[in-house]
Amino acid sequence: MKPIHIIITILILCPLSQAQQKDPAKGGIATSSTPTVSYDVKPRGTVEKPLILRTYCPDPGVEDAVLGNHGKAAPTPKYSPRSGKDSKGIVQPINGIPAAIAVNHADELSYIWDTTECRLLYAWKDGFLDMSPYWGSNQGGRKGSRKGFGYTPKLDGILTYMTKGYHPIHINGKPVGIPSYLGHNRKNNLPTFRWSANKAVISTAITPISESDGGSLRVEYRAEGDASISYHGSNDHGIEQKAPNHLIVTITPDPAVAKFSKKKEKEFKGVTLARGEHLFTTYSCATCHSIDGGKNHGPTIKDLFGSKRMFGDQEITADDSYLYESIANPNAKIAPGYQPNFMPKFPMSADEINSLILYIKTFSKIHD
Amino acid sequence: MTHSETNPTMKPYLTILLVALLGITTIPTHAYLKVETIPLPEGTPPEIGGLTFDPDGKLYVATRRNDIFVATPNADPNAFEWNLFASGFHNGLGIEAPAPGHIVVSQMAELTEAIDTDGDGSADTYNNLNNEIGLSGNYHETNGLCSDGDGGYYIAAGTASHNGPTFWKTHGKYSKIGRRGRNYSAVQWKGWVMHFKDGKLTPFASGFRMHNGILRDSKGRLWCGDNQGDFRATSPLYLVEKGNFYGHPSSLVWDKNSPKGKDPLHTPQKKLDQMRTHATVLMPYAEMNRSCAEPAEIPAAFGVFPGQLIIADNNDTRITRIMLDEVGGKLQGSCTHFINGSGLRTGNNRLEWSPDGKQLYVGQTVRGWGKPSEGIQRLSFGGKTPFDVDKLKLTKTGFELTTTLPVANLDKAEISINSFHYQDSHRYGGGQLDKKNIPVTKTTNSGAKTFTIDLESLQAGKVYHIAIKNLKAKDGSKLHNENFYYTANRLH
Ligand code: HEC
Repeated sequence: MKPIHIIITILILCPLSQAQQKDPAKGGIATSSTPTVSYDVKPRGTVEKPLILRTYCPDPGVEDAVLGNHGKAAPTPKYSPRSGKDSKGIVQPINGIPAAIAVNHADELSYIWDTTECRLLYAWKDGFLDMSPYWGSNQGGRKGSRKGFGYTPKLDGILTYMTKGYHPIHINGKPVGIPSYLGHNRKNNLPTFRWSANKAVISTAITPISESDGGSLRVEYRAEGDASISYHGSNDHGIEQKAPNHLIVTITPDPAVAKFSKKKEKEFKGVTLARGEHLFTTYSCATCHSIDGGKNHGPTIKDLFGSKRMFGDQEITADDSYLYESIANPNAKIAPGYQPNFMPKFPMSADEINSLILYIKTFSKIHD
Repeated sequence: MTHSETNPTMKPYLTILLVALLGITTIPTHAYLKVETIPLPEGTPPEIGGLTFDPDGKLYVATRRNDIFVATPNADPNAFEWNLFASGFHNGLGIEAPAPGHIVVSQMAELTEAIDTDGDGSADTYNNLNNEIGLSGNYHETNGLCSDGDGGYYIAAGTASHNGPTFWKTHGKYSKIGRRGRNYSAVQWKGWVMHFKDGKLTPFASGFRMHNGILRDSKGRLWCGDNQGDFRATSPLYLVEKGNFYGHPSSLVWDKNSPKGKDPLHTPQKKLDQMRTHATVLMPYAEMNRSCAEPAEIPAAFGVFPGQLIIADNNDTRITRIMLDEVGGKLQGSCTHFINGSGLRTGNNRLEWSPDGKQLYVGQTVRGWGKPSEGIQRLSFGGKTPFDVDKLKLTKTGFELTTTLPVANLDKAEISINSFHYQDSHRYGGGQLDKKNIPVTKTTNSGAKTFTIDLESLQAGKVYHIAIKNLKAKDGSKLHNENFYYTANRLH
């Protein structure tokens, strides 16, 4: 790429939100403006004014003991809406935190505070969330096609802290048990979470420690009235008991946790059935295409390969090249009875498309 | 769907041109309805989850990604000055504003109240009003909202879709049985209408699939649509009454009166048909409404069709109009288009009337399905009443239709009637079954604007498709809508 191209590309890719979020430190005007989300799938707050985002959140492996107040899902048999019965195969639940609040202080600190457990779950730095799997991609123009068929955002950055064990706070000498989230107050868009347990009302405020390299944070707990609180966390540092109803915990990045977040995704090469199956799941093709002949937003892929369809008065057999075109360029031919612009155009290589075709063929009696 | 990016201001000229060229006397829709497009702040994805006015007339708009904006409505659609009022809402698909600077939002994980206590124009206090409706992690579990008129709220909690998984850890208890099926209820109250009042959440009605949007009308009646799919042969409109079951079995896992440990999906369809409350109006999927979203009631001030219900189609450039009828003390009725095209985009999700009742704000969102179609459009009455059917009632022998303008030429040969029925099942959607032409025996002008159609036979449980061709008003205008679908749950 020639330098001039790189500059243009950078200009085009420059996320709107950052241009908009007149960072006071950089001489912008609106110091009071609260971060908003834009078409950018990597939304950000500023150090002073965090972005508070409610979304499904990634679960980078929070241990079971932490999530004791959550319901526990189980694998479930695949269901065929066509027959109304269970079909072959099992659907596995996926990792994710359903009811948490994600907060971002630019590169300094991101964290997840959970409304079900009423506690900080984990923290990270140098990024926030990549929302593209959940909000849809921002490819295809400034506003993006917003096609995307994942179910949770991706963690973007380096994990610095993961909480462990039961709730770290004891109230009047007793563990928290079942807490209830009451809400939060905001000052300068900094949230102070309010929750109750054992008949006491507790507040939690989390702030980045800016003098650090990033990732360090302060968690301040206060109890209303004459309730007393004490801290029993297992992997935290710097506990200051200011008063019986007031304590401050300082957390610094944990290198053991950081390693965990760098786990690589499985990589596939060439044209293989396994790759096709993986892509079919990754891009959630089944959102629109049943594999059992059932009706859906798109045609079923059962017996699709080798079948015949009419385009005008021309009969076309769904062969390799038809399938290739259907995936690479969905609007080239619209399967009869379906609407155009429904099937997303996925950014895929020829090997990936051919792997998908291999997979689709497994649902037909005819294979070549 | 391709209309989504059309500039609606271009449309009237095109229509006028067509009228001039072809000499058509049908009123162009813009003389009947004016459609304007209202932009949100530049750079904000206008994925509209909810719209509401506070008692001061300020418009609050919830975007599905996170933010809630507020503006004082302006006559100029391009002159709205938007300010961020609140943020931190995950798919806020229901919004009410009980007081100025005070909103209540049904988002995925909770019913949240956000209040501007210091009067600086943005919310500073966020209260969790209730989070006893579970959340499994499935993308489909959205919540609609309406006020109960008495300080409380009704919440329409949609089911999950088998196209998506749940998380390993759910908010609220998980039911292994409830997890089975196409649209499922793995966590509490999915597929229910719930009532929240005085801090307490109570179950109100069950058997819903995806009742995206809920309305309490001026008579205090509760309405919601539902989406065609499993146990929904086509798009229904339901009158929601306490204790009723509306046909989708999955919600029953959370019914304390249902047998414990029994999978409601195993209930025979015959039994479900007996247990369920019928739709008040069935809207044919392709012809009328592909994806029902929020219902609304036309205020008297609007100028046409006062008191009638309308319901948005999230999957086409149209809004359906409902004409209710009472037979044997029960409501049933018919549907036609309120607007079909004419510059209205697709993605119609929420309907909200301006406080003076003169303008309909339409919030749109399509994301992930097809091309994004989204934003806010505003509909107002163009001043010219269209020649259309205003009332459609069942008689002992057929139908009685009342039009908006005096009729010029009633011709029996130009009216054709088909009957068919739908059968709900575990399969996704369903066809128009046992379709039959029902001969018209007689048509009678019973008043300047009223005529009757007598049929050879009538049968309860059928949908009657009434197609009227070449009907003209005395002033020469052609009939605006020519197709009507009457759901005859009962006969006189
Ligand atoms: C948002 C819904 C949607 C998703 C997701 C989707 N498709 Fe489609 N697909 C459609 C629709 C609708 C059609 C029919 C209209 C057309 O031909 O474009 C279609 C058509 C096809 C066809 C042609 C079928 C025929 O009967 O002619 C193939 C092959 C196909 N899709 C493969 C895929 C694959 C592989 C994926 C995942 C990588 C995928 N689709 C994801 C909606 C979708």
